[in-house]
Amino acid sequence: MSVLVAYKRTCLLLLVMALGIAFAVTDLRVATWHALLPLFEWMETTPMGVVGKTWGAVFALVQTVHLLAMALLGGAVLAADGRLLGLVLTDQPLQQVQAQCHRVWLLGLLLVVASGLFMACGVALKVYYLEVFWFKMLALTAGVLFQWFVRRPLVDHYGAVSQGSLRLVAVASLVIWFSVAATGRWIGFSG
Amino acid sequence: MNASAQAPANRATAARDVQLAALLASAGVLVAAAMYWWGEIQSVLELLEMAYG
Amino acid sequence: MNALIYDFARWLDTHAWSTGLHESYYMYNWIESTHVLALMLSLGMLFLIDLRMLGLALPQVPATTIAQRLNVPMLAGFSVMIITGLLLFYAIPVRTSQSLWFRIKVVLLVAAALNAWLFHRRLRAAGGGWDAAPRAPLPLRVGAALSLLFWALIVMCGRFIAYDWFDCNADPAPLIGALAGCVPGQEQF
Repeated sequence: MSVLVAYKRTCLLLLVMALGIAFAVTDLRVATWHALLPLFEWMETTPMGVVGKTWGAVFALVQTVHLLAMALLGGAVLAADGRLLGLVLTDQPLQQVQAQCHRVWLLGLLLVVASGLFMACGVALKVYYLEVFWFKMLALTAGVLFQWFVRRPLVDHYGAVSQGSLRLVAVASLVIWFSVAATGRWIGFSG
Repeated sequence: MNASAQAPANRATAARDVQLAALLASAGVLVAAAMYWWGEIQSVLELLEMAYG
Repeated sequence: MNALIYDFARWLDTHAWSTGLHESYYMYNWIESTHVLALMLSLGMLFLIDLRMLGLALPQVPATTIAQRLNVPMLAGFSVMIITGLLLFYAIPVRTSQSLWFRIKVVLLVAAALNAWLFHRRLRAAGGGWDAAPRAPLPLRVGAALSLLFWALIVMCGRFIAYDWFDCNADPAPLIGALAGCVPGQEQF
């Protein structure tokens, strides 16, 4: 019992991972997918969906915002993870670089999600049937949760945690955000 | 144990907890990403195999 | 001039490698994805530098330190952009060379390069007395703002190349056709 209390974050993480795996291998995943169809049908009928479908130039402009925001988010991730890996800004205080990059990351995330939502409305029924879209959403969710509940708490305990754990977290963070961007690009090539 | 002696000990425990969670989460991310990208590469290779033999 | 560019693009188009690249679904998409994803490295670093100059990001890290340290990954990113960009052009030379957006993009790239050169001259001339201040001196702020503007437009033009609104075979207005470099009586692509 005391172990549960002392390691409550680890226990919670294991629980979330177990629930995630359970969701992935049971019928619940397919049932959820079916249940989401009305939402995606509705998305196409919203003003954003209508504009996105009929005005190619507006859609392309929002794509541009999406790409610029991706550069901002990716830049913040690369600088912050590069610092954890000892590649860039090594003479600047680690926690300070992390905190300031986090704010840029947050701004990038906000813009990416807002422009992404618009784009998703314009092609809602296309992406609904694309496997790669759901992998992207999964990676995006994992990335945000990872940033908040894994990466930031670890950096907060800088000094009391090992260098190896900071580096491993940096590599995992880079892999997540690369996956988000790469699967996103693949949505454009599909369907 | 008084409060001032307890605080650093709690903080050390919290650090251990956070670190263990971070290691597990990172390992999970890396395994999942490796499985996904491995699968993607395999399916592309299969398609190329079908197209060009 | 337009005829010359057209002939050059036609000549590139005769290369087997150009056709191969264009027709290879995976190779072309792989290069295209690399081109887009390298934005995170090139523009990502550039944005951090520019936003730092404007006082909007990393205010506690000395400005010249940011500019010097992030310069290396940024240039690495831009190298990837140039290589993959040239390959993308090589894969579809005729249509790209006659794209209005591609032509604006090239002009903007030259403008951005000039702006970057000026920026670095000003950075050297400015010394380091303001380094710890959250905002850089005005000339550097202007350069940073211009850099953000140019690159935002460059990304926009790059994205717009994919759309065929003003393609030569879409019968654009005479002025747009001339700017895009459509050659009268040319083969349609």
